[in-house]
Amino acid sequence: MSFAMIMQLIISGIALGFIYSMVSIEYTLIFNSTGLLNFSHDKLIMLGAYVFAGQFVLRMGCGYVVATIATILSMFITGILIAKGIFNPLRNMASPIFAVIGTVIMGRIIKELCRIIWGATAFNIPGFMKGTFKIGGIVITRANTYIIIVAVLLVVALQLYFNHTKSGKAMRCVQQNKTAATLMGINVSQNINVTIGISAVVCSIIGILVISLFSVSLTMTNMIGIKGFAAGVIGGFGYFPGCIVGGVLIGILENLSTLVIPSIYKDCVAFVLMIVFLLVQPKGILGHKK
Amino acid sequence: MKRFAGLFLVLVMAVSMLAGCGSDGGSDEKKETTAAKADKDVESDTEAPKESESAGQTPVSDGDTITFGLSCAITGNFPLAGERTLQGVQMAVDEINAAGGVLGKKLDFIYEDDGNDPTQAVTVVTKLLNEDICGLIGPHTTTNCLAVQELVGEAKIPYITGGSGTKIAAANNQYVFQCRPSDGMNGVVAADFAVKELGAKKIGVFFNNNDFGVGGRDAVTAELDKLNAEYITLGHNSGDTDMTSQLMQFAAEEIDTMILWTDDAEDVVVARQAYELGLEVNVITSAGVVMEQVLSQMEPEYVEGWYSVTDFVPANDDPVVSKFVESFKTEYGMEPELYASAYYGAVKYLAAAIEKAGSDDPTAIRDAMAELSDIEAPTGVLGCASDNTLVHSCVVTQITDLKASVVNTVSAEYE
Repeated sequence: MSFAMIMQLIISGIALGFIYSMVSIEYTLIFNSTGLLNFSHDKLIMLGAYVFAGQFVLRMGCGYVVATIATILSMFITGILIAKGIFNPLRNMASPIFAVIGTVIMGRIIKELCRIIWGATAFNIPGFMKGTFKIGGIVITRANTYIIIVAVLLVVALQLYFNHTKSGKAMRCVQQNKTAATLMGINVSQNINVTIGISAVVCSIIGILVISLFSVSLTMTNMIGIKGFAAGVIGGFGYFPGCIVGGVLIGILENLSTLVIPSIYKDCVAFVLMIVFLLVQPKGILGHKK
Repeated sequence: MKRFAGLFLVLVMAVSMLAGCGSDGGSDEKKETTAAKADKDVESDTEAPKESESAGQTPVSDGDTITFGLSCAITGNFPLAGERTLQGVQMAVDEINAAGGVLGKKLDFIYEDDGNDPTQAVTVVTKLLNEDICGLIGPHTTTNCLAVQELVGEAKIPYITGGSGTKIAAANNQYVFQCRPSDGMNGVVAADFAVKELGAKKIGVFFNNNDFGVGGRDAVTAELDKLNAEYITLGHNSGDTDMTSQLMQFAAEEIDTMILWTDDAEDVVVARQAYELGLEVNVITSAGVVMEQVLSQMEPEYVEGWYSVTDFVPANDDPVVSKFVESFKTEYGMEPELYASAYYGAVKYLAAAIEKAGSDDPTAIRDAMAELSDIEAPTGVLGCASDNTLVHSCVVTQITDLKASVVNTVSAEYE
């Protein structure tokens, strides 16, 4: 157990942790705005990866920049359609169960649609985000570097948007009190549409970033979907900085845990931590009060 | 705000149209092949049901046809296996019918989608068993097979599965037959190859913590114990995306050979990370890695020189294999992989058993299946052993520039 090995584990843990953080942010957005959980969020990440890799890069032969912009735009529209089709009509029904089931079913529809449109074969983009560089004896992959940079930029951008723009502030009003927001002249439904659109954009960014790590397949996001949820609970549910802290903590701890416990129990770390926090510190590490 | 929204939508449409125009420009070769493959997958998706639109509706085994049931995963988490299974089965049935059918009657099948889920497998198998079928092919995978084997035994319908786990033979159900080499056999071959051919001094056994991987690990380590070889074992879970810690531990232990027993998705992750972390050792893997759909997800340098113990690779001089590969390419425009070849062989075996039994009575067919031998199939010469396994040979292959070629063919004796 050398110093290099521990550093290596921490670095790959941080990169994966930022992915969990972004997943956590993406569904926190929807939870804050509608009070509902989007159970198809991992399928939206998968859809983002399929649209980027399957559609724009491989079928249409677009460059990465064009493909990224096109993916973000199409996912934003998808998000708005989902809001108009599921969240807005169903959120005011007698029980939130209706909307929750709606999102579960939508996840299945998205998955099977991807299978029908792009086929069941897992695929990858040759050469995409490939390569490594070494610092001392520690290997850092290009993909991990991109993930960390993009995740940080994304959090900064979202913070600026929510704190310094009019529409961002309106979204925070809607999160706090929908009735008061309506009385202040904010169009709550439209606001929710845009929030879910933004959440879908975050999903697509995650999808693009994980392509080189997981390959594009129908099961690529199964595990990060659940761990992203755990990240939110551990960091502090419904609070962006909490998502980051929770995600990175899970990423690092589960990697370091393999030094002391058999590696097949690595996945348990996130879930055991989540249960411990739910029992002992339900507000999460940052203890944020909404 | 509305004006902006309108402007935004127009922009989006313009971008999508521009992107669409880009598609005519042609991209580099690799991109096109993957896209073309995806297109074909879609075609086969839509075509397959048309071919057998009978699915659960047509009256079966009437005077002119003999019908068997097929359960495979068209949806769920393993849809590719089901799609290739359906293609292999359809091709075998077409060939048999073109050559005059069985017992002078047309061979036909009805299929159901088990979603690679044991619960759904039980439902669809129950449904298929209620049809008038003479035999059952699929569900695939050890887990699904174990879920339905009792039902099949009670209904007294012979059942051929591609599940390769050792637990299937251990269930000792005389109606269940395995059409792929058992993990017990492949594991032994991998361990022998590592020690005797590659001269491994210290081996790292890296296994997936599921029925398949653990079965493989047990077979490998039992053989390594026999050979007095030094080894360490580490595991990972299905769906793991970061193997850094295990690979670092292997490096710290200074292994010279890694035996990797895992599924397709994890093969890709291990290959990439082992390369990135600079773990330069000989690697011998389980069957899946040589399939086109797995290799196409990797860069050539990730798996250069890797060995794989497998049932089937298309690049094989064997006349039966090359004929099968050619026909499959003509039919579907792609190379077959091991699921297509295994289930193609299963149908041929079933048809031979019907001929031998001289009737479409399931019990007579089962008895005939247990006695058959020397049936030529792409996965080797099929014959029934006392534990109801049909395949008794496997190939050791090596990957060069993302193509697998045969290094060695290993056959085992059976009773």
